[in-house]
Amino acid sequence: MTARLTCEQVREIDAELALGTAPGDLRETALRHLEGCPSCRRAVEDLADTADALLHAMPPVDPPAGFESRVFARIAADVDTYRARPSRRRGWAVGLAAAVALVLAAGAGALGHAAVTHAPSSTSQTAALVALERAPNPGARVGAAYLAGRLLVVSVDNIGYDGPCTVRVNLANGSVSVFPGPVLRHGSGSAGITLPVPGHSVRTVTILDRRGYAMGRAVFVTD
Amino acid sequence: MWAASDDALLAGFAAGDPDAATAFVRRFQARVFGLAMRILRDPAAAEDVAQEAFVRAWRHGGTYDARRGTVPTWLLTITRNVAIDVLRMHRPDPVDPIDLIDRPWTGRSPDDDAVSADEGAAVRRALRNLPVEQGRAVLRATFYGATAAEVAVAEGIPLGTAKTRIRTGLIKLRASLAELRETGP
Repeated sequence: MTARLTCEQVREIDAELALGTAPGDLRETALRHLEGCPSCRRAVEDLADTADALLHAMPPVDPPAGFESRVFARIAADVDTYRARPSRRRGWAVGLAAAVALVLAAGAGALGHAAVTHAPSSTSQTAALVALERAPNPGARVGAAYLAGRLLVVSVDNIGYDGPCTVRVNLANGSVSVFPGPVLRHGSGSAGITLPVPGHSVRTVTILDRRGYAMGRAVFVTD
Repeated sequence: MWAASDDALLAGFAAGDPDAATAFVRRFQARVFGLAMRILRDPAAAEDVAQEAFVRAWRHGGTYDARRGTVPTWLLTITRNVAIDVLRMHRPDPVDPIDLIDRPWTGRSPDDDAVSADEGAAVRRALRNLPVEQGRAVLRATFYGATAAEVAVAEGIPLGTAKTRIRTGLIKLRASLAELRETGP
């Protein structure tokens, strides 16, 4: 875990933070700083507005004829795909089980020895991931987090955000670790993380979006 | 329906209202396709990206939160992200970023209003007023999602130089835009 950053250090990468291109570990530490520093946060948001203005600066171009009907055809096909999925109420549990199975199957190759030696046991825990105030759907269940030994699996389902996210882990001793999270597609995704400490010391797992806003949180029951 | 706000159209689109859906796509299709074309250069790939952007807007529009930005910004951000994914998969070396602002565009949407056209032109003018190396760095980061390290490799410069160009470029751009908004385009 990297040390805290000063305002001066955060300002050095303010443009990269605003553009969403700051390197992963540095970005997470900087985002923690932004959460508690309104002036740095304003500076980054200001630059983010400039970056957004650039997006709008490209001239409009009419798409080829028939574009509109092709969009609707694609949406209709998407509706059929969604109908085939498991029901929403069970969605997160199904998603998590699949994510855990995938991570454990990847085993030593993906996550190293820890994943294999700390397979699910009586000491494993699962906690629902609940959307927070800044998320589009606050209060909704948007996934789950699973702990077993030093393995943390996060499964996100319909959190209303696409793109890279960050996983922040708060431990019982007050310390915080951050990890790159899954790249969410259609608001969903999952990732397996090998923790530097045993899973039973984890208190909360928070999902942050690319700007550092906390989108969802899973709270684990204390021992 | 044509006078409905962007937020209202998006809500109707996501809820499956056919009139709102048609109006929403028609209102934004030129901007979405225009951005995709600028990044990808290929009309077929750009159309694929533009379609996918609208599908995602439909999928997530019901949970759009105005606190996170305007509807056009939200939709164009989705478009840019889809375009970057496609770019990384199919084209590891994107075209020179200066082409993003110097190459003339190929068409305009008939209902594109004058205000937004002027603002876009003003932003492009502000970009061209940057030292070219800063403009290239900012454009790579914004439209290709390039990190400072990737800018350094693409431009053949040290990492520190890349970080400085990105930062100085974006800060100067912010100042130019603030000045433009005060004095008019």
